[in-house]
Amino acid sequence: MSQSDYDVIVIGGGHNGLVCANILAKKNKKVIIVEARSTCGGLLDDQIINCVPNFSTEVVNALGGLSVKYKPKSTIALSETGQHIRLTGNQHIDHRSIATFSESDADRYVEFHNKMSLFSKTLGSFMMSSPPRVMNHNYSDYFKLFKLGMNVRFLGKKNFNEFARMIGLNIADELEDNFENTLLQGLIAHDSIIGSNLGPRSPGTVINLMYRMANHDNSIFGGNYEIEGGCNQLTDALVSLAEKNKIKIITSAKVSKCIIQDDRAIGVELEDGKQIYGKSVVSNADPKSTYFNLLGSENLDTDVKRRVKHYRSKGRVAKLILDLNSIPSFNNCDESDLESRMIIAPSIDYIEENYNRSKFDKLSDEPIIELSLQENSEGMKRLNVQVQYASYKVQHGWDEAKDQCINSVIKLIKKYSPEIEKSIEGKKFISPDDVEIDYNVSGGHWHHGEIQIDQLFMLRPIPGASQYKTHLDGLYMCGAGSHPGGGLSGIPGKNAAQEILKGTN
Amino acid sequence: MDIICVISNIYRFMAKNSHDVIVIGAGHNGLTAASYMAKAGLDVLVLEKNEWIGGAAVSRELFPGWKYSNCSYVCSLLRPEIMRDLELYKYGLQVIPYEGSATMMRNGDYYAHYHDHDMTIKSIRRHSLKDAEAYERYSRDVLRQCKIIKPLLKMTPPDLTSFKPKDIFGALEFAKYFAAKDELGGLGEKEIYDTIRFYTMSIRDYLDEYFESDITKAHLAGSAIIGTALGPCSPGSAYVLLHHYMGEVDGSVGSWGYSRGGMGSITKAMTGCLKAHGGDVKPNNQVANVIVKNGKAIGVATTNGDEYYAKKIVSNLDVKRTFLTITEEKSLPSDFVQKVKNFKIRGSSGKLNIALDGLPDFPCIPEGDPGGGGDMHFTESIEEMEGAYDDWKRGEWSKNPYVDMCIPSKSDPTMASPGKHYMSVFIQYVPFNLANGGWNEERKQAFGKHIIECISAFSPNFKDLINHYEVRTPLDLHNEVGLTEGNIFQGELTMDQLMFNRPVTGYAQYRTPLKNMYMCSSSTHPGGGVMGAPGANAARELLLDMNIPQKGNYY
Amino acid sequence: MSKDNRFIALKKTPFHSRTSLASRTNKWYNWNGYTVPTEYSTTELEYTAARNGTSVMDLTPMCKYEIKGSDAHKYIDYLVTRDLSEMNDNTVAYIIWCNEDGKVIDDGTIFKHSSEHFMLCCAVKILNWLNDSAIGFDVTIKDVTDTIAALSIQGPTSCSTLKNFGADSLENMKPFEMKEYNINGYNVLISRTGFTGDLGYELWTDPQNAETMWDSVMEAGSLLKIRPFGMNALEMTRIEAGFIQTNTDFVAAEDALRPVRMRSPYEIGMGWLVHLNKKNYFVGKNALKKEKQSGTTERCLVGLDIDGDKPAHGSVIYNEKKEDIGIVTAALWSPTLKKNIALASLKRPYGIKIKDNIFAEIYHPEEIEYRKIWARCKIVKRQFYSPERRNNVPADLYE
Repeated sequence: MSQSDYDVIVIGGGHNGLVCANILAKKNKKVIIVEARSTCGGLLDDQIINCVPNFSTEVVNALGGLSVKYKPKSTIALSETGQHIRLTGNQHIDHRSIATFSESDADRYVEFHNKMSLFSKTLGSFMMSSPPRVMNHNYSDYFKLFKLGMNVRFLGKKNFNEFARMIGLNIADELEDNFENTLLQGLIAHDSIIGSNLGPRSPGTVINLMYRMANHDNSIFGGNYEIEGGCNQLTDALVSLAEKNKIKIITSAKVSKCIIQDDRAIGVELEDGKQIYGKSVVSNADPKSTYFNLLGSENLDTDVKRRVKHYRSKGRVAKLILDLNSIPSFNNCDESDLESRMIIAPSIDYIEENYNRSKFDKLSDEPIIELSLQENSEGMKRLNVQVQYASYKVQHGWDEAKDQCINSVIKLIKKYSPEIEKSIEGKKFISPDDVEIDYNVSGGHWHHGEIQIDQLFMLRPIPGASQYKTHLDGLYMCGAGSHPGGGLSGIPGKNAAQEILKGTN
Repeated sequence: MDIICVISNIYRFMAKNSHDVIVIGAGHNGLTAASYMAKAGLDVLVLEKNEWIGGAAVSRELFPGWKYSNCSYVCSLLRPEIMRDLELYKYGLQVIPYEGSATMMRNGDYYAHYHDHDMTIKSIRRHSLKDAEAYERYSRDVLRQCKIIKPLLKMTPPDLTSFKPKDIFGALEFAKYFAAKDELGGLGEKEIYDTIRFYTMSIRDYLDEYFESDITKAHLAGSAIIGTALGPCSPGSAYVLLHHYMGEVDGSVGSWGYSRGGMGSITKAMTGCLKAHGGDVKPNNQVANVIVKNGKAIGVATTNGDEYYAKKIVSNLDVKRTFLTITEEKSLPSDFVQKVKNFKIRGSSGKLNIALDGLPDFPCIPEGDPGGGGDMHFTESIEEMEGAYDDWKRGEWSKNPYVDMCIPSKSDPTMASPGKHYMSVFIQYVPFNLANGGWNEERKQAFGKHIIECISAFSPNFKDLINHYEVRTPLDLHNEVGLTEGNIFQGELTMDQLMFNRPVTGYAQYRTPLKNMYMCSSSTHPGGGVMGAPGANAARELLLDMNIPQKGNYY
Repeated sequence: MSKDNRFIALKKTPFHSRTSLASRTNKWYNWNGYTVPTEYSTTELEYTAARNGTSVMDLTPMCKYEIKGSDAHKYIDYLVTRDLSEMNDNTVAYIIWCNEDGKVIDDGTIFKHSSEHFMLCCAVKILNWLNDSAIGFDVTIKDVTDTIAALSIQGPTSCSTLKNFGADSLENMKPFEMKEYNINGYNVLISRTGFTGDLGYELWTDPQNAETMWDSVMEAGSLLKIRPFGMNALEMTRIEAGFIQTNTDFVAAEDALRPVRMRSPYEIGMGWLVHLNKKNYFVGKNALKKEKQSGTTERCLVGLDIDGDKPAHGSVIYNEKKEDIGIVTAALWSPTLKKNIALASLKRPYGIKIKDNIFAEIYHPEEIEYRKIWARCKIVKRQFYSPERRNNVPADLYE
């Protein structure tokens, strides 16, 4: 057997890869990160990300501390009439804010929030370790399953029943039962469909929202942050931590495949032919790339190939970046409003119509967008626009659809900011197809795969590989395609590191 | 003296109108429950609001010479154990299997499945070689799911929140079932993951894992949307497919059939069984309210002003009608009432019943092809189907609907005189709350005409053959049959409303917050379809509470 | 009224005009969606032809797949458990393939034309499996069941028959070799393969040549005791030869409804086809390696020599304590061996370590009533019959 140069080779320096590498290095593992792009960070990029949740204390503790300044970001649902709704995550403020429209909505919102928060905590308690396997005849797995059951049981009879009901529920029903204000309904529905290929009336969207909340301080609209100085600050912090931990990072080095010997991963081969040997290999790439490109389909059982092939990872979000020469003004918005996540999704029906178009890869004329105003390095203002339900491989292709999409977005923004067009200096459009190529994510899905109930927990990414281990000994996964999924939490990276340590100690 | 007189009068009155059990509603589940209880020796009375018996399983002669199965129209889910226990054959029940099913295509071609497996495979091969082979694997996987769910249909779902030994054992039984050696010889880890995925996926995603051609997928996906307010892209629709597949005709799992003489033959046979065991059904007796005393249900009052008393009351009405219409809200816990209000029971289907002077031509299907002997459709892709659902979400009837049409008189000589035909057309999707003002007679007729136009596009002589037709909107089902919002399953079959969540979490054991009152409708586990399982399960629980031993193949 | 072909479930093979003419019994059988004769005259006469002269069987319904592409050789080696990396052009190999749990999907034969062109011949339809396995390989897979007509020519005089037919120097062909011939103006591929455990060949050609080929072969064998051969006789010869049949001796893993019914190669006596140390990965390797290392193999497939002369169809096998230890999957009174033989699937250690005191419970029909027979069984080699002429090169000729 060839000599191992490293204990662990991490393929991909996205935030999960960096978290994973740092935790391993802290346990005295000799680690190397191999990144295909010229810089680390992956999708943690200002071009892509509008706002982030903060790393949970578990992740920060495992890293041994991380100095990044987060600035909370409130959320504003824009209304054409100027009757915007502003939510911060602080219950008193939010109550007051909603009460200006409807007293009953405000009361119901607090109730709804508390209920969801309780459930998201319960879900969150399963996020910090690898999911158990059923029927694996392993006592620690049985214990985990038992504990999972007990955690839910101890919610109390009433909450347990409610939880059981809500798991399969669609968010539209729940919102219509509770609220009368359609803008508020639209706003919450918007956050319930992120990352999935679902509409507000699709069953399973409530659990999506809970799942998201578990990463966002168990709050619906709290837990959104902007990183002071931009997303790269977080990347830089992780990279400098890596340097401190004596991790070697090589960039512009694309891994072409895993080197396999005696049915075990023993290293990686780069595109230029260079080989690096290690005792374990961890992939921060998405599951499809990991299995089909790194592991190689000639080394996989057919059944596994079937599962990987059917893993759904078509991106659904496009990005439009508008460079502005001045601070834009939005109807009825003050300066602090412009620092919020501004969401245009005025009602459930509006979102549902958008979803109807996207189901078969068509574009909407009136898209759902999330706006975020930032300042770039030259001090210029930049409006970051996320366009929901913009399909990977859209009908007729993005080359043709791109202009249509940009125009409909600008037309939509004009309804809220009539003068915007004059201040636009430059436009950049990033479709899911672009994400696939530029960031090496198959399907261009930001979460490395749809967040949907049949792709979560012990089914993520595929049954049999949910414990961060792939089907090849010595090859692990630490990306968002693994439990608990995407959303810039760093948890997959952390859990994977723990699983690798378990395997090597 | 006066007081004694009054008391004795009440006593006499009560004795006259007093029974062991009163069942509200003479639908198939009410009659199943009643028959089981009567067989166990109880004095059972069934009260029915309509002048006819059968709820949604009826055969009605609305036009002279033609019998309409004017609500439910095909039979497969009815548990064979129930047919056996209640000896329904004695009272005239015979099921005739379908010969085939076909989807017609706009290009003049068609896609068909047949009663004979080899013919089905040959037919699929015409459209796609890959799909023909994938169909075998697909059939195996779905059959496996049918086998997994079959014993669960007969179980009373445990209350997972209760610490009573019975419920804890029940829960363990449920869990054990998946791990233990059973009919399938035990499931492996992989099969359990497959099961979880099957229950949570959309039928579109599920079929995409097997098939390549649109027509195969469209033909198979139909079963996943019939009667449900879900589209083929909605997660959970794969389960609805299973709900339609888990039936059997003589051991042939997943096959469908006609009930000879229309669906009314089922309820007629059940009524026969009930009466043979001393029970009775009183039509034209609409229950106005349940009489509650000290938190116990003691009887019912009808809109005719009569009162009936019984030791036990069983409601075959859906959960909303049971607790929001005929039971006073103040006698129920408020959070229970809230949950009942939240129960999703959306109407999504309509129906046309048509009396035809002859057999309509469908040029797509060659003459004599048994593929035309069962259900016929003309939806060619999942995308079309989902588009039909999108219309429903907007409160409109589908412009390009999914229809499930069949001509039972092709196989059943009792539905119309020889040479004449009865055609049943089930339409998905039709909203209960029609946008812009709701249903009225004019819009109802417009809807009927729209469907007839859709069918005429595939049958040139169809219109000329029509003698009479009846249009059924969800509103009609709501008003006449009593299915709230016209939902044919008495509650949607989504994950949040199945098993121990059906109808309301904590009350999935057929009992209600009111002592001595039970539910036996399709709003309870295992749900809708002419299955009888909710009725039989409810009867079992009731007999258990009365300490009456039960016999039969079902238990 | 003419009957539209579309309403008839079973297809006819390209030899149908000839087989229906030859059939004196008009007994038919559904084989993979085709109608083929169960027997032509009587099963015993047909069986004897395969052991005495030449038997001719219509093989067309066998599933046939053409695999082409630059990765074809690599792909085949990946698909099957046997090490085929050294397989030569114009040869045939007997193979099995497994799913990820190391459970057998089917067995079959693979024909190598060149490293970019193969033909796979097997019992169950597996186009989906082949396609899904092909992810990541540069190959195209085509179902050629309908487009290749096949005849199986078996028996001691089969080589002479085919030489008369026009296959020059066929006697020098070794077992599991094949060669493309041009006979009477059309191409026919001849391979020295078969399912009877005797000397024999298989002929593969375009369906349009089927009828003429049948006629010429029958003519060529007219003095060599040639006879058409049906499914029933094939079942007899294959049991004598100890060949296994998918969905009879074991359930194909892709078809099995019950996971417990799936069998690994070690459980059906096919361990010799599993080459765990071959260079590249193959489907099921991880699972098979694990099974081999942990010794968790649960069953075995053995040959039984049973007392008495009543075939043990479907019998349950017991140990001396009358505990159920397995079942008979195929049984036969062998006319050649004059032995009561059977294939049985037993729970280990029975059949491997414990070979004594094994009994079959046989229900033998005797004029409406069944008689229960308790017969002692001897565990024997599964290959009950294997004449020397089977592998002789040059092959036996009758001139």
